[in-house]
Amino acid sequence: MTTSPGVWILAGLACLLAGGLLSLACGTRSGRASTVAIVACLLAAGLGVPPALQVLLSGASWETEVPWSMPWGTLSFGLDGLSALFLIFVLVLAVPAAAYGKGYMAHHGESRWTGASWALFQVLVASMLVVVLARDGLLFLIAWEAMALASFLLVIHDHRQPGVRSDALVYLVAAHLGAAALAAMFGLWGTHVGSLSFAALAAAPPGAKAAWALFLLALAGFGSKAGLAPVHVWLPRAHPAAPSHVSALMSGVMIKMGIYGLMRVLLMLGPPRVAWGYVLMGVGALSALGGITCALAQRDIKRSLAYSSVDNVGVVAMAMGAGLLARTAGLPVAANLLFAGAAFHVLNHGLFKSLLFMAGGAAAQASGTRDLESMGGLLRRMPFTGGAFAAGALSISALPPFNGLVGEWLIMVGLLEGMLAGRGDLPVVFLAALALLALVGGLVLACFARIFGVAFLGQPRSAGAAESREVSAWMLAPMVLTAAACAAVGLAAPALLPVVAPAARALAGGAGPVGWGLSEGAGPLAMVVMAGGGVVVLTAALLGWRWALLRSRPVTQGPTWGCGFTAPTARMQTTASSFAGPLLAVLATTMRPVLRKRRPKGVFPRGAAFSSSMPDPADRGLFDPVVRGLERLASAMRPLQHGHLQAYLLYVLVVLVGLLIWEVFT
Amino acid sequence: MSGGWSGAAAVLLSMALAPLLAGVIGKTKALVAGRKGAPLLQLYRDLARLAGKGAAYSSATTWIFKAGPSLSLAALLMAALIVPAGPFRPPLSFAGDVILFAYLLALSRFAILAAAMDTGSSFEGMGASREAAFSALAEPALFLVVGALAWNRGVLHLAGIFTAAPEGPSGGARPSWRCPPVRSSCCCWRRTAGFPWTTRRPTSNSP
Repeated sequence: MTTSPGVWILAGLACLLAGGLLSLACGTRSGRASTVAIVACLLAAGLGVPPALQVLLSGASWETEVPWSMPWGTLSFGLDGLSALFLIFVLVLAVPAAAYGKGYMAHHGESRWTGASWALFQVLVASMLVVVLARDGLLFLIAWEAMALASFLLVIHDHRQPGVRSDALVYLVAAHLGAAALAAMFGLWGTHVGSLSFAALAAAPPGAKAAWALFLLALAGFGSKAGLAPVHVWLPRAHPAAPSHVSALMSGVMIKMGIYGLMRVLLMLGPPRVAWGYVLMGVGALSALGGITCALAQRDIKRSLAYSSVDNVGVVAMAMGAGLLARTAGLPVAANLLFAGAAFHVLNHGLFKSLLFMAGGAAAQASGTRDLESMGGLLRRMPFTGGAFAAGALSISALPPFNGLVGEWLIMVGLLEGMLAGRGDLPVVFLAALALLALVGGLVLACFARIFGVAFLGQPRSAGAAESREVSAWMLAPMVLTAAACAAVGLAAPALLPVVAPAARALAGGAGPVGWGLSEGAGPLAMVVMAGGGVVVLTAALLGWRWALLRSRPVTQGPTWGCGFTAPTARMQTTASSFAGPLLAVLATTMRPVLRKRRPKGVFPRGAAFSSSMPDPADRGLFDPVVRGLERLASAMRPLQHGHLQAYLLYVLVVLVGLLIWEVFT
Repeated sequence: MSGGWSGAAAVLLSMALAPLLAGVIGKTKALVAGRKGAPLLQLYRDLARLAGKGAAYSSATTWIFKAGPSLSLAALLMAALIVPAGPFRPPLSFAGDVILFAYLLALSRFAILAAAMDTGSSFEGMGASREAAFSALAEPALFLVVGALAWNRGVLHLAGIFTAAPEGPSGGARPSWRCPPVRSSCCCWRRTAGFPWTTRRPTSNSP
C-alpha cells in the first residue's frame, strides 16, 4: 500500500464514529439503526484488518502524532505487533456481535433508546480501537473511560428488569476504581519521566521501588478490567445483565483490553523482576481455579459463562507470569512459547466466548429463562443454536480439532520446556503450574458438559423450553460463522502463528528463535492439528460404517427407561446442581455453600423447602465486609445530615475558625 | 510412519487385546470375591454377538447419542497411535504429544458425557457427573507423573519417556541432554541435531 497503514485504520475509526451518529439519527427504528451499526463495523474491519495484517507480517510499525490542544497529552497513535494483533481481534469480533444484536434486539420491541444504544455500541468498538492504538497516557485514559461509560450504558439497557440497575452500578464503580488505579499509575510515571507519551515512558525505565508501584497499580487497574480475582466481582454481575450481543462483545473482547494494557505496560516497564512472574502466576492460578469452581456452581447460564471468562483470563495471566519467569531465568524458547500461547489463547477465547454467549443468549431468549434448571431438550428444537453451542463447548474445553487446544498446547509445551531447561525452583513451579492447568482443563470440560447436557439435551424441563423455536437468521448466521471460524483456526493454527509471533517475541524480550519450527509443515503444532483432522476423518469413517451396517438391520425406538418409575417426568432428569455436586463437594471446601432448609415436620408433613447457593468468595470475604464497614461509617455520620440550615452554617464557621487557628500556629 | 509398520502393528495388537484386559479385571475381581466369574474371553463373545444386532434408540435422543460412541472411539484410536507399545516406537511421536494424548482422552470423555446426558435419564446423569468429576481430578495426577518422568528423561515425547533407552545414554537421575529426532516419513522433517524445544543447556540460546 502506498499510503501508510494508519490512514486506513483511522478511516475505519471515522466510519465507526460516523455510524454512531447515523444510528443516533435513526431514533426508534431498530432495524435501520442496527443495519447502520453492522455496516459501520464491516467497513471498519475491512479498512482496518488488512493494514494490521501487513504490519504483522512485514514487521514494520507505524507511529503518528497529531497536534492537540489538550494539556499534558498528545494525540499520538501507533501500531506495532501487539497493537495490530489486538486491533484485528477487536474489529473482527465486533461484526458478528453487531449482526447477532440485530436479531436479538428485534425481540425487544420498540424503544426510545434503540438508536442511542446502537450508537453506544459503535462508540464502544471505536473506543476499544483507540485504546489499542493510543500511544499517549492521556489519550489512553480518555479512551478507557469512554469504553467504560459506553459499556455501562449498554449494560443498563434493560433497566426495568429487577437487579439490572444494581449490577450495572457495581460495574460502573469497579470500572472507575480500576481507572483510578490506572490514572495513579500514569500520573506517577508521568511525573517521573516528565511526559505521558509511551515512547518517553518506555525510554526511561523506572527504578526498583517505582517499578514495583507501577506494576502493582497496573495489575490492579488492568486486572480489574480483565476480570482477575479478587477484583472480578463485577464480571458475573454485569455480563448476565447485559443484552446478549453486548455480553458477547464485553466478555469476548472488552476484558481482553485489560490483558492488552498489562502487556503494553510490561513492554514499557523495561526488564521485569522475577517476583512479578510469581505474582502474575499466583493471581492467574487463583482466578483460574476460583473462576471455574464458581462457574460449576451457577444456575444462570450467562453467569456460568461469565465465571468461565474469569477462569480463562486467569489461564492467560498464568501463562504471562510463567513467561516472565522464563524470561528472567534466561530461557528465551520457553518464554516465546508461553507468550505465544497466552496471545493465542486471548484470540481463541474471544472467538469461542462470543460464540458461547451468542448461543447461550439465543437459548435463554427462546426458552424465556436464563435458569439452567428450566431448560432442556433445546437441541431438538433449535438444532443450529445447539450445534453452535456444542462447537463452543468443544473449543473452550480445548478439544481437538477446535482452536482452544492450540493455545493450551502452546502454554503447556512452554511450561514443559521451561521445566526441562530451568534451574533451581523453576522446574517445580512450572510442574505445579502444569498440574493446575490440567485440573482447570478437566473442570472446564465438566462445566461445559454440564451446561450443554442440561440445557440442550434430554427433555424440556419447563413449558418455556418445550415451546422454544429456532432463532432468526440474523442471530444464527453469526453463530454458525463463528463456530466455523473456531474450527478453521484450530485446523490452520501453524499458519496463524505469524500473527501472534511479533507480540510474543516482544514480550519475551526480543531474543529467541524466529518461528520455532512450529510453523513448519511437519512441526509438532502441525502434528496436533493433523491429529484433530484425523479424529474428524475417523469419526466420519466409523459413522459411515455404522450406517452401512444398520441399513439392513432392524432399528427400533422406545422411551428412555424410567429407572422403575411408572410415570417418569422431565423433572426427574439430572439437574445442573446435581451434575456439579461431586466436583463441588471436593473443590468447594473453602467456598462454603449457603444452604437453606425447611424440613418436613409432623405425621402428615406439609411444605418442605431447600435451596442452596454459592456466593462468590471474593464478595463474601472481601467486598461485603468492606461495604458493610463503609455503610456503618456512613450511617454513623448520618446524624450530621439533619437539614437545619443554622447548624450547617455553624459547621462552616467552626471549620473556618479551626483552619485560621491552624494557619496561625504552623 | 515414525515407528514403521512394527509400531502400527503394535497398536493394532494392543487394540485387539483390550477386551482381554477387561476379562482379566473381571476374573480377578470375581476370584477375590470367592466366585468363579465370567470366562476370560467373554467380552469377545459379547462383542461378536452385539456386532450382529440392530439398534435400539430412545425417543428422547438426538444425533448426539448416535455420534457419541463413534467420536469417542475415533479419539481413542488416535490416542492409541501416540502410546508406545513395549519396545516399538509409536506411529505418531513429537515433542509435546503427551498433552495431545490427554486432550484426545478428554474428547472421548466429552463425547460419552454428551451421549449420556442426551438420554434424559437420571441414572445416566449421575454416571456422567461422576465420570466428569473423577476424570477432572485424575488429570493433574497424569500430568504430574508424566511431567516428572519427562524431567527425569529430558525429553518431551511419550516414546522417549517410556522406552528404555533413547538413542544414546539413558537419563537416569539427571536429565539427558540428547534429543532424539522425530522421524515422520510422510513429511520431510529436517534430521538436525534435535528440537529447539526439548532439552537445551541454558547457556546456548541457538535453536
